[in-house]
Amino acid sequence: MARFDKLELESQSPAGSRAVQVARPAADDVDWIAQADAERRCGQYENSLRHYSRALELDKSLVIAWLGQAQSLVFLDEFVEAELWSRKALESFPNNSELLAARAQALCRTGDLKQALAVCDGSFKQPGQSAYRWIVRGELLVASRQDFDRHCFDKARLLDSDWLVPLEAALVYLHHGFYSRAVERARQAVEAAPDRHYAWYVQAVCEIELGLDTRAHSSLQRCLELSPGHVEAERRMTDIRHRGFSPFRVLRRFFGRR
Amino acid sequence: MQCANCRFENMPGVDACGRCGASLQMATATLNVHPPRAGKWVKRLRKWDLWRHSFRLWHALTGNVPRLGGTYYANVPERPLLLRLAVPGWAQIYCERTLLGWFLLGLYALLLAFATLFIGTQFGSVLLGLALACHAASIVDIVNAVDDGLVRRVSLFVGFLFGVAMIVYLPAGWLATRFAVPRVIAVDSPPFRAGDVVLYAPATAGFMSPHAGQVVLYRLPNLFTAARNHTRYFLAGERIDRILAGPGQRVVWRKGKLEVDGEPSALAPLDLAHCPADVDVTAAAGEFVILPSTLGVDINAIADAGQISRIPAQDILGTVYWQHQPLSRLGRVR
Repeated sequence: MARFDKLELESQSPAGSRAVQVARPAADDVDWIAQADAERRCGQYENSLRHYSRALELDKSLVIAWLGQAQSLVFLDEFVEAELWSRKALESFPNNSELLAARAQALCRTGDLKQALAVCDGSFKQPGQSAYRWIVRGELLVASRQDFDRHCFDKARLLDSDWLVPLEAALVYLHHGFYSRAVERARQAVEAAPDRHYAWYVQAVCEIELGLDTRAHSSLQRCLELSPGHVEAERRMTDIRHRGFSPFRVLRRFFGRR
Repeated sequence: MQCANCRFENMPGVDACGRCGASLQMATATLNVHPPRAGKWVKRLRKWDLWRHSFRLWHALTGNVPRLGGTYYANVPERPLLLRLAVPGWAQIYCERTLLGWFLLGLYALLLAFATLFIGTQFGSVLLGLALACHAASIVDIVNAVDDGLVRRVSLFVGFLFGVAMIVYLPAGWLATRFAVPRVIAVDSPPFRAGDVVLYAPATAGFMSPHAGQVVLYRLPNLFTAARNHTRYFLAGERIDRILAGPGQRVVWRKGKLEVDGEPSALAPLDLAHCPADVDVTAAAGEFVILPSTLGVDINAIADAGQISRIPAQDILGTVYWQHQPLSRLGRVR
């Protein structure tokens, strides 16, 4: 139907099939950003980082790509590199609030809370509103064991209803070892996006940490239904199936951090 | 020309943004866009970074304290917190004051373990007192966070302490005394020496009912015995020895050999060196035969050893099963 070829139909989801993407003659920076975002929503931070780099190869003025790189490095546990990279990005985009927040997050994870707080304050002095800044502020409060973190994460959710916001809050809690709070946020992400396997996976990880094996098993099952062959989910599922009784796990369940 | 950083519209031809100073030539600038990466081993080593952990330690020590009563710790419901006061440190762990919680719990467990090891001695009592103090400290720490005045805090502490004593320590103490009561040996009576501590299970608890072959703590019947050399002994008090035969059985002890109902028996009193020479006794119903080898006197000088060998069942106080002190002779009493 040649007469419909030029119609601008709503594009496929960013995580659409690769065959379609490969068929395109050349991906532009927006495509790379979209692909990076899609990979990030699947928890594939390595691929996400690569796609952001490809986008930057085409256009170095994409702040979102610099930011995405820094965030991906943080999620890949490369905090020193994330701090260095966000600092480098800030040289090109001075006082960019998101990049400042990314630097604060990297600093927080390296343990330099004092400087992280200063940088985060600097980020809040910049105009505009973003969920990411509130997530970072929440993380700083979690790291410094102050009891207002949930307000920050709630604020982030108010600013952005994307399911990735509570999921990243869950990842923050997971990193700092607050598993019951993490599972609460992961549940919010699952409720917002029940069709995303990564949300189910993160929820399962939180449940495993809490010793809720049965619930973790069902979460992993759902994750595998949505994404058959998910290697990490399969590995964790096998772990749950094959592990026997452990008194340490029982103790952990009783005395573990809530 | 719009700035990518702040969206400010700049005049065409300028190199940097007039508002934020960001370069406007970024799109065509020569910049490395591939971030540096950390190797697998570097990431592993960083997990052991003491500097990073020192921050966590500091914040664990100086973190928020839970609040009871008025404005309490937002994420901590009051009732579960109160229930967790039963175990020292548990409430602190629940309130995410993990370091303090584990410290209190660990110290309590350590003190309790050592107190159990030295139970029956003064040192053991001191350790037990310290363990209880550790539990009290855990309660004080929680109660101290109450916003109200000193009187309310003190009364809360007393109330919680009383509650814990009633709910935890009273049943635990009652249960412990069903299975193990320490008894300090006052005088040398082989195989025990003065100062030794043994554990016995009270007969009334029914944990170990007395039967032939068991080493028991028993009460001597209060009686005067006429000795051969015109000396009279008054026998009383508690002794530890082995039951040789049960109710209705006849025991013949001759030249170090024991016969029960005419059959040779492998059982023997605890101290063979101080056994009566010859005894022929039959236990009546509700009586056990215990040859008194641990009296601390020469039993052969006592005229009627058979008379004091028959011990009524109600005078058997319990089964001695474990020697607790000194640690060099720790083990089961056989």
